[in-house]
Amino acid sequence: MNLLIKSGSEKLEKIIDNFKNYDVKITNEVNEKNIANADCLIILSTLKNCSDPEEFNLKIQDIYNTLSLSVEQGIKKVIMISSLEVFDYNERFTVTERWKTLPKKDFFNLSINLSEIIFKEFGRTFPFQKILLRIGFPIDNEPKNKAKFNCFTKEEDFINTISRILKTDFKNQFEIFHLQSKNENQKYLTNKLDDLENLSSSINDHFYHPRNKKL
Amino acid sequence: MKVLILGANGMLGPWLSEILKDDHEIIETDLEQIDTNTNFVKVDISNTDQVLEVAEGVDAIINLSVLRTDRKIAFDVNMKGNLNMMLAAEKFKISRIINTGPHFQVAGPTYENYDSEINPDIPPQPGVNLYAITKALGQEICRVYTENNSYIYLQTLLFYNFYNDSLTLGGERNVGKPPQEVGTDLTPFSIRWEDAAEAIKKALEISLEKLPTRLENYFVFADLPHRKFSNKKTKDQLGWQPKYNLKDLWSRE
Repeated sequence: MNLLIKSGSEKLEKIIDNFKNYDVKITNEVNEKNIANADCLIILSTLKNCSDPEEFNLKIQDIYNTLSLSVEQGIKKVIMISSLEVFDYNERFTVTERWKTLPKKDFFNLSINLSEIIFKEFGRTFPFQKILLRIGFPIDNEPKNKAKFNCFTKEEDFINTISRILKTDFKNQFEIFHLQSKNENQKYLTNKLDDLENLSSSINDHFYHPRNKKL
Repeated sequence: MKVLILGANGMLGPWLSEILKDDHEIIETDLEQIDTNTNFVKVDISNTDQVLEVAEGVDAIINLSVLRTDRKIAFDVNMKGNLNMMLAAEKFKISRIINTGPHFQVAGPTYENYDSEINPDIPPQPGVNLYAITKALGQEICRVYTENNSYIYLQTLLFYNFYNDSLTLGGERNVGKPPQEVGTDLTPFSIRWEDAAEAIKKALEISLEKLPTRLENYFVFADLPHRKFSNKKTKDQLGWQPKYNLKDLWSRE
């Protein structure tokens, strides 16, 4: 399987670049040539450089342009890696994929929110598999301050999740998944992702039935 | 009130300025100088510094700016322009923000093809049309800034087709075209210029305390028989009533 990754995060790129059984190509620019050979495009809603209005503007344009070209070229599957930071809810809430995003107004959070909206509208309009994967940051196997970083994601969990998503046929559905590693201070529920294989098998009714499970 | 109008040199701007000029201090802005007796400042809405400079000291901002076709400029005007407006609102504590756009930045094809009695408070589904999605992204920026600044009140008025007294459709691409024929179908989101401007005046002059929330959207179109969309909220909350009836456009006689 050919994976095309739109660059934006060196750390995530390095992790994905080490995938076995996949031909991974990382590019600064998605074009007709490289997208034509891709079975799956991975794009990021989260870019570190988004500190002024024009950087913000160009980043959002880039997301729109990339997705426009991808659907024009008949892409089959797109994974947008996003961030759980778009949920600025009280810590006591067990936020899931069904919750409305509640972004802060800084350019970084706002750009994540708008990138997701563009992805959702392309997903609503065109038939391809679209997966919005919101992950908890930092990507770290063992954060020093677990109480502070209560939604970190271990590298192996990230790799495992991407692999499972790549193997799953989502039948042109739009699906959102939340990922963070399990720990005693875990902030977000990940039931839906835990149940990914069942979701795949029951996708014909176009509705996901979450299991009744607590943290 | 001291009112800043962004994009005043469009089709709607002159209608609005005409009914505001006697009661308010207006600052009109646009890319190109316009022939006006009011205070005019040349401003590119996509230029953050220019917007911040002209917005200092105003009581309200009305954004009429729009760009529909060129991909880069559509994002610059429709999305970044809104960001600049909200940065100004935040910096100078400007409470009253009136944004405008097409109805399909909310009610895109997935609504319009299937549903009726569509109201302005539905979850936005603009689709990927450049005009629709860039305006929707701009609106989302306004929404987030309003939710995060307790002194900002955002009213968004949504329009589409505008007609003059000879029932000729407005817009540059329609110049020279014949008037709409009575008894033919047309977009169910049509209004006379005068009524559109009056709705914005109502939004400008309503007491902010009377608004149910700090985020209100309004569909602005004439009373029409089709029940595809609803303008009831605009009438109920803003006290707006369209003077011009366009029902004849759907009548056989």
